[in-house]
Amino acid sequence: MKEVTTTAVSEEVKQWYWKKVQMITIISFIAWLIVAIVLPASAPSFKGVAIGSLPPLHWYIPAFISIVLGIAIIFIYALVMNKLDEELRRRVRI
Amino acid sequence: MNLLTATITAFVVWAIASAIAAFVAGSYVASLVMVVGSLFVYVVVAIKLRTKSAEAFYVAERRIPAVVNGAATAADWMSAASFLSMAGAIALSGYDAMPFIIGWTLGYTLMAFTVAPFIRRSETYTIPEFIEARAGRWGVARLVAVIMVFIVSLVYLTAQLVGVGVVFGRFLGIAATIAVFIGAISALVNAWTGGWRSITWVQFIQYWVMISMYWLPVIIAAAALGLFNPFPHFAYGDLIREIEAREAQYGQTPWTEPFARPFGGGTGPLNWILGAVVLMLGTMGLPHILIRFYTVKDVKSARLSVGWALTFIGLLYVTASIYAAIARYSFSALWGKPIEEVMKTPWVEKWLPTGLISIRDTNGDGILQPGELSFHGDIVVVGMPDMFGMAWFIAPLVAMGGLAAAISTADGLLLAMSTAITRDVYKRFINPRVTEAGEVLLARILVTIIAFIAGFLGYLALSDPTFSRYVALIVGWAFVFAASSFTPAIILGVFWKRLNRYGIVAGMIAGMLVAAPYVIAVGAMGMPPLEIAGQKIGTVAWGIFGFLTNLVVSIAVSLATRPEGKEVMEFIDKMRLPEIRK
Repeated sequence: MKEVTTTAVSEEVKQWYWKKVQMITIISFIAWLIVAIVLPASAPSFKGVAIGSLPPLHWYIPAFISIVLGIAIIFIYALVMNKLDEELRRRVRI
Repeated sequence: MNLLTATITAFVVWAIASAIAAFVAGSYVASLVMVVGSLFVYVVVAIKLRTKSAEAFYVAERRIPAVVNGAATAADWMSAASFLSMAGAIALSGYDAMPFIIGWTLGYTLMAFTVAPFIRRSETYTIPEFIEARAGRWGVARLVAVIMVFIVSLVYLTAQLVGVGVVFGRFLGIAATIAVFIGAISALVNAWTGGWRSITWVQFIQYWVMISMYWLPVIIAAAALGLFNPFPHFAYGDLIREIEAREAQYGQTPWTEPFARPFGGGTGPLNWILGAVVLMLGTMGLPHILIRFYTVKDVKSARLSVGWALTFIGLLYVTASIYAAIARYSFSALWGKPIEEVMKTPWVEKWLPTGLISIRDTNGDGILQPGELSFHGDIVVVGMPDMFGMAWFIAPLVAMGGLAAAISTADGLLLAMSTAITRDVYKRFINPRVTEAGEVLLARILVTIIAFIAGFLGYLALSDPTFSRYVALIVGWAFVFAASSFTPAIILGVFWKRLNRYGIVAGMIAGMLVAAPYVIAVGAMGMPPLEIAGQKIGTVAWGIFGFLTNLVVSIAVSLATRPEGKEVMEFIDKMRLPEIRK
């Protein structure tokens, strides 16, 4: 299979694709803001909240929860983008 | 012999040699054989993968699978500081050291959708090359980028070699000043043989060594404390409550109390969160990490490999605070005991002479008060096996992990710097018609020279405590500088077509001009930090101003000068589209 050069892809398809990418990027960015900044910055207000044998919630947010959510965002982004790429390839091949 | 057979053979030889040493010569020699022998296994792998091709040397032929690249990135990323010192920082500063945990992980999330896939698609070989291509092949942009690579990477490399010295010194009692050169030579051999191709697979193996050896003592200690539910990660709450209760009993500020202690020379919630954000933004601008995304086979793998990288990194980072809690628990268990009894506790007795713990009966009552016991952060990971009386071979295994962490990062840094000279300076400006063999040969010579320069700097750092303090500080600043130089240039470069050559260069220089003087004045010369709303802004948190300055200057200068031409627009268009085959 030969690689299609960028210039061979129609302007219309390129614009459609980049619009989608921008949208997905903005949503991912908001998710990142919440998980990486808003959540840890508001952690101290959860002081004294204990769930089962977990450490106090204000500690557990930066120590565990934020990281796990951060990983989830990456994989969700990758899955959504990889699907979008398939759609793009279909459109280019037609 | 193929790669797998060679690796397994090397591992078996290592295991047999260690066992023989244990039976014949006792535990000290066996520890030495285990630790030094692990370096031998990496070298065997590196030699199996030796190459003369530039494509393999620079980008591992762009054929690395996503999961492998994820583990290699994790090893590239997690340095001696992550492995040896981070848990200690949390044990000492508690909640206020948390910016290290979120700051050194969540940058990957941002990187995943703003940088990594596009960098891969740019098909360039180095970060300065990317910057130049984006700046319409303007050589000045490339040279400025090369200088930034060196500012960010050289001290960072020195710190890794110091880390190797510390591992040997702490675990094996070998002079750290000599061990620095063992580290330099071993990193050098891995990088020399096949560039990124060798390093990638060596880092892949080192990741598994590092993570298993980080978890091993924690799992054993957690089992001794009954913390399984099913992992200690979900069960160390009671341990923390016990520590808090002990602290309350002695009228201490709780360890989990937010903003009770400084972070990066600053205080308060603003400094805390800005510090974390700067570490995240800096992560995205570290050349030796960015290069890793050149080595995967396509955009799809680039996206997934960031996810794997953070998963693998997370396995260590979510465990660091358990380490800290267990150490804190062990230390607080000594409070209120007669000093004589404390001194006879086996692990205290063993570690007192190293100076990592110190006990001083200031009020002379013969009873240990919390303030009379102080400890160095490094003992948290290094001393854990002794705190729980683990078998003798656990400590050298942990040492192997620390060594793997330091060497794998050193390798990435060595290659990032040497390729910045060969490809971005020599081939670009001095001799564009250099043969592939000549280019790789030059890269090898440079790897050697840089390894020895860093080795020598590491030697100086270890023999002069003042210098050593600066090395530790400067590593934190590498993130400030990366966030103020590369990060805005790359993000704008992908998402804003109007960014032009003058914007890129002016932004990077302006960012550094804002970041560096403050860092030097406050961090190194002891000037009082700036205060915003009564909160001190530390040197790390200050990086946000370098980042923002770069962003604003890049945009303003680009808008004031002419846009880039057709060639750059095509470069951006290509970067924004995935591979399409017909």
